[in-house]
Amino acid sequence: MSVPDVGYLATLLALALVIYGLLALALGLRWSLPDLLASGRNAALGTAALLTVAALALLYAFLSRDFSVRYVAENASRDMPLLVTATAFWGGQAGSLLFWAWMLALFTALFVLTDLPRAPRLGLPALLVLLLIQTFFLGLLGFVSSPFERLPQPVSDGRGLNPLLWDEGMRVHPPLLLTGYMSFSLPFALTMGALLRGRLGADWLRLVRKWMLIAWAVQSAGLLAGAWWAYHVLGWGGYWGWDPVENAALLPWLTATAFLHSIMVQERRGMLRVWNVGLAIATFGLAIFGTFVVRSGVLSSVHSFAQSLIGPYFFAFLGVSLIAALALLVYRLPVLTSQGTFDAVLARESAFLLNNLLFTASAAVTFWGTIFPLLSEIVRGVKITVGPPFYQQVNGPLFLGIVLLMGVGPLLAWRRTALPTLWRLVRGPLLAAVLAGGFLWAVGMRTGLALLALMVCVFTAATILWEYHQAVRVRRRAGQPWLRALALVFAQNRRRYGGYLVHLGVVLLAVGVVVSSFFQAETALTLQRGETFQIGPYRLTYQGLEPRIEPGVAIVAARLTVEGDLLGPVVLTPERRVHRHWEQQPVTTVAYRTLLPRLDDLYILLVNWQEGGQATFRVFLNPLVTLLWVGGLLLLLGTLVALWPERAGPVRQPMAVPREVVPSEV
Amino acid sequence: MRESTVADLVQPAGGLAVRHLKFVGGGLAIVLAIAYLALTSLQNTMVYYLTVSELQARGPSAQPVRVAGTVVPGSIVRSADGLAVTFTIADAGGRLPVAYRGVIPDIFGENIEVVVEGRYRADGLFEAHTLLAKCPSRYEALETGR
Repeated sequence: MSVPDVGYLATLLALALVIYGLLALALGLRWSLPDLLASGRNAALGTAALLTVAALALLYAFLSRDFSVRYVAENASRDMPLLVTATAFWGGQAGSLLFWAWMLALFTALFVLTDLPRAPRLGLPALLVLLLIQTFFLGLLGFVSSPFERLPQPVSDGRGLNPLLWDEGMRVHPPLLLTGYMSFSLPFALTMGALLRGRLGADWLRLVRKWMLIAWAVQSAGLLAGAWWAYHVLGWGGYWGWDPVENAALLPWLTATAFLHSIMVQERRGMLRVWNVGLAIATFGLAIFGTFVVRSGVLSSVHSFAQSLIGPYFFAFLGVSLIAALALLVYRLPVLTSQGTFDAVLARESAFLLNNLLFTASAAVTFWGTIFPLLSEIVRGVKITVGPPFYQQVNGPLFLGIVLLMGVGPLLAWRRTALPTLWRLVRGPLLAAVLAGGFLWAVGMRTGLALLALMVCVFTAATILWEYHQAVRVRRRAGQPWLRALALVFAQNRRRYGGYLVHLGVVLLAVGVVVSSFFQAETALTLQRGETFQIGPYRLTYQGLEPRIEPGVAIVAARLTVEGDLLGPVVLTPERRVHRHWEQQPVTTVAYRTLLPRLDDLYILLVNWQEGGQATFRVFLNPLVTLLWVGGLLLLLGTLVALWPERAGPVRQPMAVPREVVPSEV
Repeated sequence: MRESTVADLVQPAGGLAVRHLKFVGGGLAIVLAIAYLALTSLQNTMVYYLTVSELQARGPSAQPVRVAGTVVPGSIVRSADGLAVTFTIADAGGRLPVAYRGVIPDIFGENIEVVVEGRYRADGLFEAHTLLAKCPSRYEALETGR
């Protein structure tokens, strides 16, 4: 039996095992049979092992360039480097589905091994839901879209992956997003498990928060990697285009962010239970919608796809899941009553409510814009699209409100806050914002909206830094040296101060987005060899063309020197590459460099050239795009801090922190 | 802000209904404001997505529209500097000459399906400010020319 056959067999066995596990768990839960429950649990582990075999088999088929397998022949070719060949795993639909299912099985196994033993009453029904989701994906893999399908006649060489996907971004972006979409299954399964059990207990709160945070972190990383890939490969000078596929990836992220905040209200005050369950369901629905949009071509997008058969299956799965989840929610409404009430408008609860309102509004508007062409065609018979301006106009103010709220919210106490107390906390940051605005005005910034947005960012950054400062000062007073005091701040309240790191990352990201969208400069020009031109504070000199040949690729590179960077002259070499088999589609390779001290990205494309060595360039000056990547990394670091398990046993700080210094816990 | 007492917290003055009114009213006001913002933005930014024949039936207009079609072989004329291109797109219902200036996507070429956004001029030329090219068969591809 050949390796691809082993892979296919493993997929089918995994499907059989999952169905067995489902039955074992269902019967075991119904009649409380511990042996059956243990067996169902082992079935989940076995599925993970079988799918690992299947994934390795597909990887082997790629690396051995087994062109008798249709999926390999369609996505790989002999002249692709080995590493690129491995990334062709998720270059098409069937492989992406296998990757999704494999990751779900691994996450499920992780859940079974770590959390299930400690919370079996919640974990077992949750596992049942996870296996249901797996059944759907394994069914698709087994009978509708298998990556192990053979060609009637093996071909000598495959078609290969589109050269634009040869980039290293392809190694991280698709698997991260696929894993992100997948991982929203866990909070959903936990929520459904809790509803099946009839109780949203403390174990649910703890686990759902943890898994939602993990999913959120993976999806954040996927979105950032996508933005980075678009920026450094696609060559239009931007990182986000409000394309339907990008929107689809943002949607579950938005509702998950709302969930991570509103869950704190439930944790603290026992309120918003129905709302939180709703958000967990919506997030899962949007994640499936995202997987479905990427894989079905139901929305026309420049991320165009081969039309496929799996659309209706996904649609049916989405519909059945949502109807079942909502039915269960309605059935359990009696046990989801709120335990507290909202007391005052000026309180932490209200800030969370507003946060949720803004995030869900942003998700709703983005969703609406994304499916609008579909809706208008159904309702009015005309396809009407909305482009980036729509999303910018609506989401701009919403995101600005969110950043402002990020500054004010954490300063408010639970239940109610007195206005004078709040004023005492915000006057410093307000002053910082006004000073920053004055400074920007003085150096010549006259764009009102950009000024306002940057002042809001400074305000929020100041409140966060002030919080850190206060926390460190208390510990310094107790005699701790500075660095140890800072370390203690994180160690003693990881969730709170990790969360602030996330907020700080978002502020940096926001500054990068605001400045790079308002102040991007762009020009196109044709230069003779040795000719010089000026863009912003930088002088560029075109030195000439340098053609070269690499295996399977013919390359023309243009050499430019740049003066104006703090560290001396910089050389940039934008290229055009022509890959064998893809002669009709030369690949433009962007050359860009972040220049100091202004953090401007000088971003150059080689558009065309003539025999005499004359060349045409398109040059972008993108200010502060670097802050996006720095902010993104800080956001991920903060999430890691917040997720890091607390040490076992009660670790109480050496000295209690007075309440008036730390207004409240996050 | 009123000083709160323990009694207040247990049974706040104004009653549940009044306090909820504040939240519901405030929330509703914000939702309405966002809905208003979304609707006006939609009206200002929406673009009709038409086929070539639908566009020609509507006739020239100052309003920007989006048109999809396939690039007719032999119709592509690039400017010497490579920054502009003219070509003809066609679908089952007709042909449309297009002039575009900007970043030309790498995958743009003959028989490629493209989406152009711009204005249909009175002289019958479509003046595009955006050119999107769809990759013929690969699952994921590429965008340029925003």
